[in-house]
Amino acid sequence: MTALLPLTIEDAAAALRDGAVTSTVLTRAVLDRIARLDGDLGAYVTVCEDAALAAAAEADAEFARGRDRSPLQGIPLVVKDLVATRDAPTRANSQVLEPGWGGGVDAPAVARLRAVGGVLLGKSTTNEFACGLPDRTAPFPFPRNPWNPGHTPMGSSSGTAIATSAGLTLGGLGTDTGGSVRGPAGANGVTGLKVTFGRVPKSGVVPLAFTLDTVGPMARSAYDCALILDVIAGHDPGDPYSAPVPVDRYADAARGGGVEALRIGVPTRYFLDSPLLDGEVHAGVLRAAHELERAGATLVDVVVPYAQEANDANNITYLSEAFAYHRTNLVERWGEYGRSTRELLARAAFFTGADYVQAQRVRELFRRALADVFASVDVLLTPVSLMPPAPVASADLAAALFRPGFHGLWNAAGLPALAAPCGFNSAGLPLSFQVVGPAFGESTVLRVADTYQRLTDWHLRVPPAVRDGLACRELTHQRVARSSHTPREGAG
Amino acid sequence: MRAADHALRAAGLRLTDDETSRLAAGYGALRAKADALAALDLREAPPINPAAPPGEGGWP
Repeated sequence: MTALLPLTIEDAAAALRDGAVTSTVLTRAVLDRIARLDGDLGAYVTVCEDAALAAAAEADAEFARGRDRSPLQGIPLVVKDLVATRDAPTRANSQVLEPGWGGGVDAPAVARLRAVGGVLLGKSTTNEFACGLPDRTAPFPFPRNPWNPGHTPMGSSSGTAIATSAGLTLGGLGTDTGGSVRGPAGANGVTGLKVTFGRVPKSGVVPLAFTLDTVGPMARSAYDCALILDVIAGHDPGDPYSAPVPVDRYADAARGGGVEALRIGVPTRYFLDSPLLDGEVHAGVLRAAHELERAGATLVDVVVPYAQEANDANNITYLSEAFAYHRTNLVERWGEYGRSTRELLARAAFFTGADYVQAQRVRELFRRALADVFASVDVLLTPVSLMPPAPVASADLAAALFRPGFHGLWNAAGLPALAAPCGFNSAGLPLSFQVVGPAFGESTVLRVADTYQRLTDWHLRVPPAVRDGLACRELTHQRVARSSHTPREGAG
Repeated sequence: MRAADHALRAAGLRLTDDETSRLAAGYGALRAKADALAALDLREAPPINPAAPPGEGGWP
């Protein structure tokens, strides 16, 4: 093995197969980084060192026997602490959730990762019940953005994003109800995919909003996300929200064909013309769009009807469904919730049953309108967020209910949406764009992002404070040299 | 303030005055969001059914 840890699952999988590294060595190296760095970063709630090393040894033994179950065999991964695993408690960053929630059984998505030889390192930090803000008074790690610890890593899949960005895992699972994969992916400079509702089983996941929750992959690259999705996607008869829709071969599809024949809708109205959109975010997203245009895609200015209404419908839906789940505990155990969590959830009391039903009608109206949009374009490209990650002190969950939002409307419609890095602002904070596809269109979404990432290297950048020991630029140059496209250093 | 306090109490929540004040500050804006959706004439339109399989109205 080289002295440097590979950054991507793709490169680690190759190293495991050409004998440059064993899973045991790779896993030990990642565990060493966790021990050295996570005290400052707060990405992990629980580290399952013994179980991870045992899984790594088993993966190595299987390689030695000639058994190769999947590109994820022997790859260190992390699971958001909202998802049940058999070897660690599921706590949802809460002092209210029943001890033993999940029954010591792997959620289907986790079981699928284990079944192909994935090495699960532990559980990653989330916001309380996936909706509060990090709380310094709670008995859980306080997550910090590795690019600048004074700025929010966003949430709620903050731990998986931080760990991936800092080389404390090669990827993992997040959950997304209104942006909780894409927000932290964007804020920490990694890639995250919110899947079509029902694409990945969500049983075994602490609910936030039962008609919106999704489990999705987070990793450095879109290709790595595709490798994870290849394993976790697919119907589970035990999950009533799991869709009986055939799965694609996502990694193959991501590398299959580039973007030459694709029409990419770049909506100005509501998205790029928002007066609240940060100028550097705006410029970064447009540069990404034009990079894809140079790669052969056709850019189309489209209108996404009812965007604001759909985002508001998502907020009403998720708050109402979350309130229904938490109401008894909020009444009886108010003080055991974090302040930001309980005050956000309590706002659902301002909505009526009629508001909830109307929100579901708006979701259907939006869904039908989007069917027309996707008749004229293959994907949409938008910003992930209005602004780069804000200073920690100014993070305000409630304020997000009143601003335009680029996450929740896609949850309202159940569509796949991916966040990918596209540069840095003048303060050195990550910029990110979002690719949105039609239902079950993950393959096309991943293909667009993979094409962009073979032309650029933003997704391979490592925060300076945690760079030591990672392959970083050396690996970047190897990857770019392997690409069939002309590298455009610093583009995007 | 009174409407927000009434809604919170009707839901069974007993907040401090400070907490109620903080939440009440956003009451009007949240109600405006919900009322704007209500103004869309969708009385005869079906709601989304996210649990339905594809082709039966649940999926975009």
